[in-house]
Amino acid sequence: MSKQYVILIREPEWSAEQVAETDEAAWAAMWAQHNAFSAAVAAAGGKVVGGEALEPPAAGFRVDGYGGSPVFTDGPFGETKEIVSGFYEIEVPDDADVRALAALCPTDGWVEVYPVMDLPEQ
Amino acid sequence: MSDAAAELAEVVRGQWSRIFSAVVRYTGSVELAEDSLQEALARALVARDRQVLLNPAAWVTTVAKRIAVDTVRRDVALRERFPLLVSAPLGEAIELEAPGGDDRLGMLLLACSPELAPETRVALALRFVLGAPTDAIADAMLVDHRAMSARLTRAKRRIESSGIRFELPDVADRGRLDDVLSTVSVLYTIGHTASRGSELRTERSAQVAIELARALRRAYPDDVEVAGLLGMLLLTEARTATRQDDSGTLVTLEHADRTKWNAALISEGLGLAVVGLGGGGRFGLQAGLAGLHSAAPSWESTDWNEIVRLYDALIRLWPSPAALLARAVASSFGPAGPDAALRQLDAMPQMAGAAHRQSLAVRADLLRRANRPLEAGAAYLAAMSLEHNETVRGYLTERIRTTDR
Repeated sequence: MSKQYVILIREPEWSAEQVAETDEAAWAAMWAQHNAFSAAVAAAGGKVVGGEALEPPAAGFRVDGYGGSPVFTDGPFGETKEIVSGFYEIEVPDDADVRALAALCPTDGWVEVYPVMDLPEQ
Repeated sequence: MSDAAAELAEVVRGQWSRIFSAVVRYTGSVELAEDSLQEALARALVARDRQVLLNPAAWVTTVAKRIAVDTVRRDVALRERFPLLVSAPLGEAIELEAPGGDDRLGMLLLACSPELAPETRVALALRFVLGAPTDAIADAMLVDHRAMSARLTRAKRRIESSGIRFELPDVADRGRLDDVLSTVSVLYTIGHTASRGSELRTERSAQVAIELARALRRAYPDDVEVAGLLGMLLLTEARTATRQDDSGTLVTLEHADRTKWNAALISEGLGLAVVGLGGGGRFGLQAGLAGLHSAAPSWESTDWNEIVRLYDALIRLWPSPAALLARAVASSFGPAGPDAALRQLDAMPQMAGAAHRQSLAVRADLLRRANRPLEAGAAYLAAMSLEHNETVRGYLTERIRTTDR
């Protein structure tokens, strides 16, 4: 059978200038890294189920006080400099080497990998 | 930058039919969708956009739709042809429900339009919706590769010049559904045994065919031929594990370890086969045939007489070369034996494509079993000369080696 994992990409925030000024060679290298990751997932018998790039914390907001009066705080949140810049969701066979795959997920910082909860036995 | 282009193509290829379906359903035009997607792919390579790295398929789809809208807005003639697109926001209501939860099924129903010649519809659907390679389609549909290529090009031109605008047809249109069933069946055939290369199967084609058959069953739960198609595919798929041994050598049905067959698929398939057989249509019959093999506890206990009877019924409805060949093989395992089957083979009309190639291997095997080793050896060689699948070639080589002894 198979299992799903969410991989959070934790790295320093991307600035707009940084993205716009990335040269061709550097961008091609990033392409190659991301393709290598999805190819490795496919080679392991799995697939990339989803993935998104996230806007930086300045575009986001935090909500506290669920169940009572919500309190909204606009980002950035002044925590560690490694934000969640994006994520992948993958589905792989049970015997896949998830650590080896996660090690191929490109990041300038680290990645966090969380198994998605299975449905309970009926 | 052709490496990056190749890598991008590989990444989106896995989802190509979904991407293509989404854009064609949005625009209503195959040509506009293709052109927009080409442009979107080109832009993906140079866009400094992190989203394209993390979700290339979604990026390409969205950008292609925007390009299509821009293209139409800039051109007066196109604005008249696609009035809805001019004012359409991106995620809007001209997108239609995906039947059975599968985008591609809607596309297949679109592609199997009665305005196209019958022999073209299935090929068109396979090529442009499902992305199957032209040579694989030609081989499976028993047509010469160049002729198939020309036929597809003419069909595309005809669609564009006659301004056929694809709109989702009435789901009750049974004629189109039959073409879609054919398309899915041929796709599975293409996936089951590759016409060339080192792999026996083209896994993705077989998997897509099964996904589409399941979507069809959800969309048309009362249709007996739809049940028959899904039953046939599942019962055949159930035997996949034993088609090759651990070293990749082809293993025939006769020597398969039946304990390794997928019991869940067989059980599900048999239930569907019963429904399909009740309708007496060609997919119901084929499900019944697959069931007779998959449900037999051993090769020796296979009910060959019943198999021949079902093939007779199938041939009355749909006298395809594949059915004629299979009937001859089945009858050779019954009381008539290989000699009678060889006579049937000799009486068959000349075949093309995969059927011709298989008929040579069938002839060789019948000759071997009829104790005519010299002729068998020559026939296996003839079969080899047309066979480009390395796994099958390996099998034929081994047969030649053991027959000469």
